[in-house]
Amino acid sequence: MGKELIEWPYPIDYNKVNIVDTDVLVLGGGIAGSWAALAAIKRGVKVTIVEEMDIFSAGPAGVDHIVYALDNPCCTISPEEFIEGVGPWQYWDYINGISHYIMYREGYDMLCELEKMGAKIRDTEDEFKGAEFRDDETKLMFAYDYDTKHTLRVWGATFRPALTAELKRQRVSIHNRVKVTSFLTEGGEEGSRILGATGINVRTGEFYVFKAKATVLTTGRGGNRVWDYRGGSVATLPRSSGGGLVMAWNAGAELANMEGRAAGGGDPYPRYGTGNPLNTWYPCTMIDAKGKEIPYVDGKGNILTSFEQRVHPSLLGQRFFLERSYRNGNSPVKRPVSLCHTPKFAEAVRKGEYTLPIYADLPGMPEDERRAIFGLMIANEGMTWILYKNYAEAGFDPDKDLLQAYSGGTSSRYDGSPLVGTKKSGYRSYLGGLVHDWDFKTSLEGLYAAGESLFSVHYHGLAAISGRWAGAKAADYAKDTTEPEIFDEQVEKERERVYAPLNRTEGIDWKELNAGVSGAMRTYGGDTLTDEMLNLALVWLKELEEKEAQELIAGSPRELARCLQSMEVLKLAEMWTHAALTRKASCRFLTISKLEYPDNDPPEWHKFITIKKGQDTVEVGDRPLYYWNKQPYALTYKENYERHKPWGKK
Amino acid sequence: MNAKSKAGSRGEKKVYIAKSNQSIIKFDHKSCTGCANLKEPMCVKACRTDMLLPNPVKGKPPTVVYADECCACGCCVHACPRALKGAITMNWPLAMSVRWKRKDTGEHYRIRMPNPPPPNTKPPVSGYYPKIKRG
Ligand SMILES: Cc1cc2nc3c(=O)[nH]c(=O)nc-3n(C[C@H](O)[C@H](O)[C@H](O)COP(=O)(O)OP(=O)(O)OC[C@H]3O[C@@H](n4cnc5c(N)ncnc54)[C@H](O)[C@@H]3O)c2cc1C
Ligand code: SF4
Ligand code: SF4
Repeated sequence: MGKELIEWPYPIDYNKVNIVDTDVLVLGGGIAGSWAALAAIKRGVKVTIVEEMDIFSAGPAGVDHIVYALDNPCCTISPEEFIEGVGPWQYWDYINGISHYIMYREGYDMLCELEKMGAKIRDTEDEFKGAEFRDDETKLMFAYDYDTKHTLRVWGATFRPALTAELKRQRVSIHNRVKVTSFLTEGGEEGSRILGATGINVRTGEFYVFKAKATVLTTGRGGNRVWDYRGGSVATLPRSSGGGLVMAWNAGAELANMEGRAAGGGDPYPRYGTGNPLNTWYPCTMIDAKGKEIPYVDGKGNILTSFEQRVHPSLLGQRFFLERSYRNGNSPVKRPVSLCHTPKFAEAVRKGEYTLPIYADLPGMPEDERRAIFGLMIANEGMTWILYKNYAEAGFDPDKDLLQAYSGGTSSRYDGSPLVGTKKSGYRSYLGGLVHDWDFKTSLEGLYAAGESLFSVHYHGLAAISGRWAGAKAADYAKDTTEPEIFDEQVEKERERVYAPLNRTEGIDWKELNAGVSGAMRTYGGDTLTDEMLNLALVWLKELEEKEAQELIAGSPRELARCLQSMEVLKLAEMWTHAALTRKASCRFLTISKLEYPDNDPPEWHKFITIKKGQDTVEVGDRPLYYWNKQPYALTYKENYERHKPWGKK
Repeated sequence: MNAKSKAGSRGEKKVYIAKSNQSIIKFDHKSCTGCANLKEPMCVKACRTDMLLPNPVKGKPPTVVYADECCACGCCVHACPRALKGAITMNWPLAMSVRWKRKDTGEHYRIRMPNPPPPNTKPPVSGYYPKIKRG
């Protein structure tokens, strides 16, 4: 079939170099980036955001629940009680304690600031009046735990538009459709002060040099394309290539948890269905194909007998539910889960106790719960507005219809209960990011980071509060520092690099390279790892870097940006492999299973592994878990928070 | 590679690109105004993979290119001021066409099925476009 050709509608100029001067440069205009910019500009400095998409839809389009807003007026538990109650166990040890603690202290405060910008965080129209999960005085709505009320149900589809409008109102300078490609450093040297970044416009191909006194990296994490890209369509969102982390690596920054990954495919939303009873659907009743109820179970595996028990920890003798149990079956469950998300379910199905497939029994839910799950949460989740619309248009009616579940019992997305499609579909790198201090300053002078660019951050609220804090700190730093002196040679070298795919007439396209990386990673970095296999992965990746990456071709600015992304995926794969080789142990939380080192998280490896680029090698290091509450910091969360917080009394 | 430029060298101005013959994104030529009054059509602005190009003819729907990179996020539909009038639709990707079952009759349905049931006209809580009200 002949293809009709049309003219590229944007004026192309690969020779043009735009120079932009700013005080604070924010890279990535998603959730963390938007907050960083707003916090910085309030301090009277000049702020510039660079976003590869358009700020209009940067980051996820929505959010349906905000976790850990412990400072909300209805929450009955303090941050200290929460931390103490969660206790030290695996999942919590590897999280980002700094962001989490600030979230406990300022999550609701952040939401109130957002509300002033026009977002909807409470049921102002009294649509859920009298519902058990609503506080009729504040009109706040809660999820999961109706006793302690630490998690809020929100109208998250209003968040992005409110932030965008505020950025314009505050006159933040915004560069849309510009992909940042590298950091500029003092003297062009790795490990020295960050002085800004370079970028290309993905429509016009023009080059950008951003000079900044302080820079905040908020490009998110990426990693969907390391294992799972097969040359097909999806997973090409800017954030999916992990470019920001690669830039930081190339500049010599220290990264932690890079070996951390999560099982699961690279499908972006909308995935099959609309969620699952672990989050969006919680506490929806699940039933099997014959209509038999699949019960919820508590942390000890006891079957719950009433709906009330799913939402009232007090009925189970618990003080509070943790927002989410991390992989039931591997770790102690701290909140009820549907049996369909436990390893026992597979067994029960094999014994004939349940019949596949399974369904969410929305019609069987109390009316206000059903409306909260489908009418509010689905319509406001990350990218699921379209889902509500398309389901409704196709005739799906939550009052009458059972929604088939595609995870849990019948899929491989969650460990422990694979029945159909037993092989894990792949992995996504999930937990790696920049090491930082209580100011969200990274190991490089002049570089701050927030959101998913940090190690172990993966919630909307954490992105917002870390962005807000990092932006304020970066502004303070910018006020106090010298003008950046750009090293021209570094700019020229980067221009050579980024435009190279345009100069070739023969070669391979970006999909071929990305699929090649994924193929290598599935082969040598799969379910069970050995040192030999990981070393082979490095050999493969090096070959790809030296040969195929040098053969990439692009015919438009957009294809050029995709080529650069594929090179980022290649580097991200290499970073993962180095970190995975360094950890000579298995670790379930990090989803690392090693043949030679089968012990799960032995004490000597119960620590963060850090990596950074050395001269010709990789410098590996480590940090104790909870390093943020050890020397040189104060010894408690509270004290560190008070000492470092960038604003007056909160 | 979908794009072809005459000389392919740096600084090249004219680039031609293959129009996608099929895509899950569809425009309704009657209700889409091409956002003629705006600098950039809303759906083009919103697209996360930049695969919708403004039509050189003012008032006409955008053109789809690189359709295989669509991530099915629906942001283009969400952004369109005439989405509820059908100006732009996202046909659910076939591989993600979920199924459901009517509880009392046991009938099976799926998204994109032939002879679908009548649409459910109930909007989300607070409507498809909750108001953004600055306090
Ligand atoms: C479908 C979905 C549902 C979710 N639901 C919830 C929920 O209900 N509750 C919750 O707490 N969390 C939820 N999350 C997680 C939450 O949305 C993220 O944790 C949060 O958005 C992270 O913010 P961020 O700013 O770090 O990254 P993002 O918001 O992803 O922003 C990163 C931005 O950087 C840009 N970028 C990347 N690379 C470059 C580059 N090289 N140059 C220029 N720009 C670049 C990207 O385009 C993007 O706009 C959900 C996520 C998804 C995808
Ligand atoms: S589909 Fe909607 S947003 Fe896109 S051009 Fe047409 S009217 Fe504008
Ligand atoms: S669904 Fe998303 S990626 Fe596809 S055209 Fe629309 S905005 Fe672009």
